[in-house]
Amino acid sequence: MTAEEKLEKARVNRIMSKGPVDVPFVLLVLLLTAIGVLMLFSASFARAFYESDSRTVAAATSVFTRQLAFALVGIGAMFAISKWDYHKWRRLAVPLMIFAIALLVLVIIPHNPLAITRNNATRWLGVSGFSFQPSEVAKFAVIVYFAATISVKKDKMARFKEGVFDYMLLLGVLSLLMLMEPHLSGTVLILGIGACMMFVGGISRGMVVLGVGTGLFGVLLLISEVLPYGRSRVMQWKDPWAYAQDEGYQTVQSLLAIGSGGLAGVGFGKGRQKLLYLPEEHNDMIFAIVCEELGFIGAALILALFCFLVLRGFWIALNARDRFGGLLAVGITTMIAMQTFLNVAVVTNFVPNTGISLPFFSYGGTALMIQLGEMGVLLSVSRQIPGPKSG
Amino acid sequence: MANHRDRTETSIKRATQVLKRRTLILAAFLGVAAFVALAGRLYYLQIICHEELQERAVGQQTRSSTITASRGTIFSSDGETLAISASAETIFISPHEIEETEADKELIADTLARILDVDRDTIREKEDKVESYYQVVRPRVEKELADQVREFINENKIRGIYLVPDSKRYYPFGSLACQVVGFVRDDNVGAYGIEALYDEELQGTAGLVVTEKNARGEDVLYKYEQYYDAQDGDSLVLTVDTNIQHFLEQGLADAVKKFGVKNGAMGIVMNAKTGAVLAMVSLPDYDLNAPRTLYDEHLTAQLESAPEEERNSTLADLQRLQWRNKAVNDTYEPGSTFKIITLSIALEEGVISESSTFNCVGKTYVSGWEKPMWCSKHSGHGHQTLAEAVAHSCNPAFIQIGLDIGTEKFYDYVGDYGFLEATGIDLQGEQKGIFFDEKNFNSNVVSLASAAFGQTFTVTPVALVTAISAAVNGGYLHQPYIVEQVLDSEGAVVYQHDNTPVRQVISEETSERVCALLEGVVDGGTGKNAYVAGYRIGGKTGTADKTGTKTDANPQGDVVVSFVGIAPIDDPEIVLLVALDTPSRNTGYYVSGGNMAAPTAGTLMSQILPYLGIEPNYSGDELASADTNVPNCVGLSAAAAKERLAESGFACRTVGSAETVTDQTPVGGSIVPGNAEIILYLGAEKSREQCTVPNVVGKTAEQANRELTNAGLIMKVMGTSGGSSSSVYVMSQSIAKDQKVDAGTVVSVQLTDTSVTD
Repeated sequence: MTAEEKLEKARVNRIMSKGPVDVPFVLLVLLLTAIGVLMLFSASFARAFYESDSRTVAAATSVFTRQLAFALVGIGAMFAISKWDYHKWRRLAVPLMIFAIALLVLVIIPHNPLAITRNNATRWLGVSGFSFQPSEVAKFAVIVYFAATISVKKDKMARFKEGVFDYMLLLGVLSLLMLMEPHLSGTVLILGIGACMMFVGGISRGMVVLGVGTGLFGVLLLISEVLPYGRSRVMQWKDPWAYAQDEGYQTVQSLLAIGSGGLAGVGFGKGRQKLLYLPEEHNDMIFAIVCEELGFIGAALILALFCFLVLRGFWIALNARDRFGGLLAVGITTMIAMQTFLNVAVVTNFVPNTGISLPFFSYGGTALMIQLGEMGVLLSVSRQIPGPKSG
Repeated sequence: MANHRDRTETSIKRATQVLKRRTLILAAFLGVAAFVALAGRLYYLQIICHEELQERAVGQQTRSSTITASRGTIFSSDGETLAISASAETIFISPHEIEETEADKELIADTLARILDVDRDTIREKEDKVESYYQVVRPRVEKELADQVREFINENKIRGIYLVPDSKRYYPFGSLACQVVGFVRDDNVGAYGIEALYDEELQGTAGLVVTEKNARGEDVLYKYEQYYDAQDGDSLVLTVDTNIQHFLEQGLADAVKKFGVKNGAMGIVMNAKTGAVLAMVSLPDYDLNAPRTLYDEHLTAQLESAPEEERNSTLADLQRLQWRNKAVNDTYEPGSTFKIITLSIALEEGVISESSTFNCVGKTYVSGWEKPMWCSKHSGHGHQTLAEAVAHSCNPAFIQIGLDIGTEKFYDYVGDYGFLEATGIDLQGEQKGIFFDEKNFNSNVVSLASAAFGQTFTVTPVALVTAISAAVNGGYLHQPYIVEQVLDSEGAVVYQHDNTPVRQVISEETSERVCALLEGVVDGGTGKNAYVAGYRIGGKTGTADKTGTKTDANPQGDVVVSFVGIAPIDDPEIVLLVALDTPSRNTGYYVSGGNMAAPTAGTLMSQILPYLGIEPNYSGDELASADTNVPNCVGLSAAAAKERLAESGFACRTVGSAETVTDQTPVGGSIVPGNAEIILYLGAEKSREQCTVPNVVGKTAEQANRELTNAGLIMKVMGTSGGSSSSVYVMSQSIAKDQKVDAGTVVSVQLTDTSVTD
């Protein structure tokens, strides 16, 4: 490519990146964020109140106000990022990946003052009230890196070395680091996102069959309780009531919340399971509170919003201006979809319990900001969708 | 170059196609299938499992404290309290909390054991069940002890010992009417008797306060509270009168002792006009406040002789035995008492009349049965009128009467008198007597022949008394009953028993004729030992073989001796049944209803009738010995005193020589038989020496009177008409021999005519 061609391309990109954002997608994101923050208020105030020393209204709303602030900043960031030509991410793919690996290494260094341990797992890095999970960065790094490399490999993806081996090596390293935290759900997500992008990127059918087969075999192995690893978790999954007083407590409390909701719910704010019965009620388990308060109707509507968001995400991927944009969109959409599915599946005891947050709903300022930022990237892809050809 | 570009373009095109196709596949899985699955799962949990899960959730989210309803009181007809609930507290520990708060388990066990009188090690064992939140230490503790426990909790600031309000049932009369009243289980639910049958009425409805709580047990921000009022239980007023019940229990207990009765006794006093049960006794009995303890010595002996490993089951069997209300739960062959029914049927149907005559040679034959049917008097009663046949309780005569009635009519009347079904009395587990199948009964006369004198079929005591009441009250069959009224917690009557008779079985005229004939049984017949001076009593004795008890070791077999008394016979108020199951043959008394049940009934009548306010009406003979109030003569002149005593019909003698009476024996106001002699002291010192009571049991009436008078005592005669007969002896005396008593004390003697064989 001549310098002239490059200049021309940059000019086109600049113009294209000024295109309109995908309005349905923006509306869905804003709606979900708004509902999410409101539900967080309802889910969080009881514990915030009971566990504060002062027991004031300010204490009860502290979780909510903090999340609201992050949401507003996040929405601003989303629009800012959407205006940024997504092609620039291609150049950042490698540095981002190196950065992510560095963070993952940093978090597992023992006695690291920046690392934060909660519930026997060291998944957070942070200083003075602000913390984030390196795995959030790693997920995004995988999406960008995979999109950047797959998009140029084209049909070479069908080859084992280029299409599968290299990526498995990378995913292997990342998984290993994350399992050392340990962070099983994050590992599952990264592997899932990676696998989906490889699938869409064009690996050979044989590899697809092999991959799906291996996955199914693994699931069967787990359910059959042959392996000692995760056996107790599977047993709790199959009959949480038998462990209602110990390991199954969270699941049982979640089911009680969901079941109490019935068709129409007990009403916004009126849920009782958040009165210290349900652990993690404003984090991983927030959807149970949604079900209790808004009922099947409300929960199904929210699921529908997520469903539309995912479908619109894939629509953006299909209509993206180029392979890179398409793959970026596939990666980000897949991440949202998998996270939503796994979270709701865990809360409803559809799959064994593992800590996974619900996008836009679960408490966590930085996580919400990162999610909204990723939505911004998806929107930046949507801006460059070529309009219908005129004339 | 172009070729290369073409190839690149095709590869790009193909890769893009793959990308789009596979994105669609991914969208189908992640965007559609995944959400459909989740929605299905939510539908299952929120719609299908909704109620089950909600119930569980509410269970943990709410704290409901019950407000116990106070159980209703059971009153006797004379207003006494037979059963009442008082508040108490149940003390329990939460071993889990004791463990969590690291409280001093030893201290708690020691202290609770001391205050509550519970085994210390048992408490320690309960404390070690650390998963448990609820272990009862002692149920239903009275306030005083509960206060001590509270004090201990407060002083030591212990979490894990709790007191919950409860109530405890008390039976102030102990064993009185125990099988009728019944008792409650540990959880205050009726277990036996009226307590069980009327449990719903007595229970009331527990109230409830439901408050919401968080997982720490704290009340929540916005208060959700629901209050359901407790509805106290209704109270019952029984037909049972504590005094009559007491007379009957005492009389039967005495009889059991005196006659060595092996299988207990039963008795019923029924209001002949309404079917109200005034008293119902079944021996052995027990204390309602501790129903699981065995009280009867026969029962405790049986338990002790049981092998170790069978102790528990034996104990349970024996407990059921003492809880059993024989008057309704058991059936027996009524024997001659049933002749009242046969008699009433025959009179109503006009097949016999007072002028009918019967000839008894001691046995009779019935077609279809080769063996003779014997009369109780094997030598035979000879020629007799109907009145005599009834008074003699002559079996051949009644077989003849039965045959005259005929099977079909007899069977119909047996049904009308209510013997073919349960009476429906409001007591638990009423049995139905076993009478013959109608077809079989009508096919030959053998069954009729034996049924006519009360053998080869069974009735419950209550059914017999009910039927006899109908036979003597003008013919009206009533449903027997125990509960007269149900009162709500405010005391308002919510139920009143309806006295409407079920049906009329015989006419009023026939009933009157039956009564007249029954009076003859007591007035010189087999029931003469039930005679009570001043009262007109009718009745019928019964000595019924217990079918199947004749063995080589027991050639005569076991019998149930009974007596049915009706008084006053000219206008029957009460029907009394006394039945003794298997009296001993070794006490010296001839085993028969007339010798054992009748005198028992006589004593009872002499207590019950005055209590019911029925005035005695003495005949000339009786009047001489009737109870009379001794006038006070102290301070009067000797002449005036003698005049006053003569007015009252008393004879007198004087001691001393002064002008005025300084003392007298018996003292003024005493009630003594009117033929007694009064001693007037004229200045002489009244003898302060005490008299020794002689033994007069077994003596004739004349001998007894002489010996008692000689000892300075006054004899009062009870029981049996026709006291001059040579076969009349003293059966018992009210004051035991060798006792020291004041001079002039009245000693009642129970006379019995030992010639009575039925």
